[in-house]
Amino acid sequence: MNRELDSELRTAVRSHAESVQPTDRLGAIRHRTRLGAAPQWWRRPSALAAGAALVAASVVVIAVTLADSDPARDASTFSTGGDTTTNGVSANSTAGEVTVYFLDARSSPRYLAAESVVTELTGDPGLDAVRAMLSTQPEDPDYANGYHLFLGVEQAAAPDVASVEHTDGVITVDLTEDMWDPYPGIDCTCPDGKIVTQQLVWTVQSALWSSDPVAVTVDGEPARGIWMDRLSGPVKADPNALSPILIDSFADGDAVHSPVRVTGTSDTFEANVQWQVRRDGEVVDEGFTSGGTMGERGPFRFTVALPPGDYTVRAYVTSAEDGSLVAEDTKAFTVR
Amino acid sequence: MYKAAAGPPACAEGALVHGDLGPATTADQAVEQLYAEHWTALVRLGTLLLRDQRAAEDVAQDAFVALHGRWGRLREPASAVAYLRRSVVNGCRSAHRRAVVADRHRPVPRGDTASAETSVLAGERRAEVLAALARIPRRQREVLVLRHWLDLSESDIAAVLRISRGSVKTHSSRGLAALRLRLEPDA
Repeated sequence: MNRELDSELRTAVRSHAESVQPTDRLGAIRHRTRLGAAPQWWRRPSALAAGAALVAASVVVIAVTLADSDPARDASTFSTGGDTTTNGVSANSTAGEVTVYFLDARSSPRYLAAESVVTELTGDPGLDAVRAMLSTQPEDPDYANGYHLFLGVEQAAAPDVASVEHTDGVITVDLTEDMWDPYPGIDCTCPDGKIVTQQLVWTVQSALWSSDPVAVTVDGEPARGIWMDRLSGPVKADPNALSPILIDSFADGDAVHSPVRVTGTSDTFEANVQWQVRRDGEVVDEGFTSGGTMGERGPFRFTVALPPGDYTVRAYVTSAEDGSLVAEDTKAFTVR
Repeated sequence: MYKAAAGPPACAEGALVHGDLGPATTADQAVEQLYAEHWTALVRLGTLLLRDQRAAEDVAQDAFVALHGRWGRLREPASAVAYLRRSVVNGCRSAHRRAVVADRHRPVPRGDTASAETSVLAGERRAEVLAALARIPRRQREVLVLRHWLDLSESDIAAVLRISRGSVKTHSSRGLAALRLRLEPDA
């Protein structure tokens, strides 16, 4: 009986599959890989500057703003199917920006860094931000999404979010899949669960303008944990999770005008912030400025006059003891 | 332009039908070669899981773009096919859930596909089997589709889905039982 059904199923599956004639997408794939596989049109200098404003050491306030972008005008929006879609956003839907936290893949232990992501807005800011976090890869090649990593290999998909509720001083994020099971094994080299949990906590708190702790559930039941990080109740934001130094005046790859104003936030020993601007690997300008210190994150800024060309700006802090690098943020940019 | 191969690739997990994707192969070359050999089969795999060809193409396209980005960091270039299959299965899982994709599940009049699907659905029994397949639990469906469409062995299916071989067996037999229940409720 089973053999008969098995054979029937095989016939049905094969005949259905073979009736599908895929359209050619190699051109679209080439186009996206050339552009770094990321949408470019969401970038606006103001977004992250607003996003990084801090009201307290542990709480980041980021506005979820309606965007006036027209995806159709941008060359990186590429579709062969008919619907124009970038990052899951249909041209017909209401697109807006949310701030998403990713992992700074260079640092050890890893810190969080923020990026602005355009996503579909449903009127539920917590849900929109978490969904964007789960479905987006960071623009900056130095950042990584902790929900897409497994055994060092990026996964194409992560769980989705079913709901985000904010009641009685707790933000509850309901995921559709347990990030604990079935992945962790003896040889698991998945990212540190604590910082990946913080990725979610910071993202949803930012979207809801709240510092309330975050409970994670899966289909309504308390989640066991995320990447081997056991959860035993709502999680507070860890003020030390954010990278000590972040540039927020523009995103990686942006085009700007000279003089270039670079801004960011930092919390470093004696408020020190060092910076360099490089062109073709050579330092063309460098200096010092100051930001926040002693757990009080504060803004830093500097301005550089540069001729047109491609550059990289680096803001960093070194150890007062041995001069080793403590943290850094870099952004590639073009001066028009 | 590449013409994708027709028919299911009856190759083992991770193995490549043609060419040699050694560590020296660039990401562009790898993507082009893998596209030529696996695009059709992967889109068909996605369509079987999603029942939406365009969404399946989006998922498969994302899988190739992701592979391009990871090429330099893939420890074993030969595992690229496994990576693509896993990405498509995971992508379909996600696409199912995302409202934006769900919205695109509305029937879209598309010449080729519509007529192709019509001809397939002409076999009423096959249509019933496929409808039943769409309603059984996700993991069981994935196992049955990987087995019947890509001809993957138990261990290859286990590797794609990251589950044990025992689980593959269990999902397979439970999937068939669930199908039977739907197709022959009185049996």
